[in-house]
Amino acid sequence: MAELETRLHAKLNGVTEEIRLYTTVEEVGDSYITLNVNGTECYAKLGPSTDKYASVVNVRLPGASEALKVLKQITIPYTELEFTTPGTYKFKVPPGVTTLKVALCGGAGGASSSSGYGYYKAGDGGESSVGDLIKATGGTGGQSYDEDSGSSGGSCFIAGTKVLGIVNICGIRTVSWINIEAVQPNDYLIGANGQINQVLCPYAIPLGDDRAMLKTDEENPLVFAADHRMWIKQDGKEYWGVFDYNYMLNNHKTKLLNGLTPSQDAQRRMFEKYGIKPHISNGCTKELPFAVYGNYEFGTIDGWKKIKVKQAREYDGKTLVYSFVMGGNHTYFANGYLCSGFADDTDFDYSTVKITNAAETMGKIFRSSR
Amino acid sequence: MQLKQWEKYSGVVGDNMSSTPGKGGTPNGNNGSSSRNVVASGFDKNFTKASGTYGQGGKFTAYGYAGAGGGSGGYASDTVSVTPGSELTITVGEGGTYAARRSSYATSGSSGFVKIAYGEGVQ
Repeated sequence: MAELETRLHAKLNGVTEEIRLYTTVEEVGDSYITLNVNGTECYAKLGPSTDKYASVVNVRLPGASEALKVLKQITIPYTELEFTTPGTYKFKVPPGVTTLKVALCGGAGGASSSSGYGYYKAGDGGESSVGDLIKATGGTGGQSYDEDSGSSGGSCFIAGTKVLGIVNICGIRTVSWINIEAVQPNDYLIGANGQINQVLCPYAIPLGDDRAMLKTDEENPLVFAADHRMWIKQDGKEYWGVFDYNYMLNNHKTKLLNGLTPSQDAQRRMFEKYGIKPHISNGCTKELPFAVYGNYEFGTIDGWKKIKVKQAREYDGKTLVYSFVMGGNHTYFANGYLCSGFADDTDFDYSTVKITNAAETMGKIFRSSR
Repeated sequence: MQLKQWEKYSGVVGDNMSSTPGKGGTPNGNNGSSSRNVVASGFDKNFTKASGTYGQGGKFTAYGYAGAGGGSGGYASDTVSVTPGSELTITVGEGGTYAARRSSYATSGSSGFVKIAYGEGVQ
């Protein structure tokens, strides 16, 4: 199907009209005349004299009582086509169509959210086009960078949580329960087995939208992020336990391009940022922490403690949570619960942790000062 | 005072965060936003320019993190001359994919559209 470039010209009273010729009868319908242009058979459509495309040329077909007009062109009904699924399509311009009306829009750029620290660049939208005739480019994707996003984990306790530390009062060193947000680099906290551990780097970040807060079911609860490692006894074994196990795995087992886990990379950035000598925790390489479930007890400064844990839904993603990268055996007590300060089993054997001993050596001494 | 000194050593939110919203496509595109839950409006599937959902930029939704919305696709409308019987390649642009740790934190851009009309009344 096509329209010949050659056209039939009709002249009457000095006015010339062009009549379009088509190569197939399907284009011209039931009523037409046949012509031969330079050896090519072609057709012109016939119609009533009232047709808006009627030319001055009359044709009376054999047996017909009235003459018909040769039409200057066929009538193409108004047609709309829409393409909304991304991709590429072929469109053949119908016979007689010399003008297209086109509207088009490019694809949009995606959004980024640095909800796991680091650089995020969303994809750009694709270009929409009709041949080389018209086009609309896509929007670009958003990009964001957040060095200190909460998704690197590691900070886990709300302000006001008490940690057991060494304080200097009028030149006398003693132990006291200190608000977690008041602890400074190089301060000392009491950890597992009564060991005095140095605070290498304090750490505070927003909880973020992808971590949950939990709280112990008691009058003065410990409120902690669900991915923090707490010292647990479960099924007769004693080790680190984590409530949000998937989150912990992602931050402590996934490898970034620099070979560090997200947790390690977060520590590296903190140390570099504040000019503190780095100690990057290797995490628990010999034995993974427990996924906490069912029948478990917490290791506390008072001994083993069986207590329920509930969701703390009152804390949203902007809640600032605190913890430390600890030296020594990388532990400290938060509200009396033994917890990890980026526990590292490559320089400390956690099978030596004795909750009973800790209670005996530390609990009796400091319980009254809480 | 203690807290202020502590913050010197801590990575409190707001430190080292940056975002660059996406730019709108050409022509007529709308730029993205650094604000949470704000969308660069797209266009209606129409020969007259009007706001709609095609080519609508992605938005970020996570609270407390840096984020950036995508720019909308560009919008154009015109009449073009064509040769009957010729074949044209029509391309519909796809929306750009979101970049975030979870899909609930940011959305991808919407795809574009192509609309064509011909025949009676199209000059």
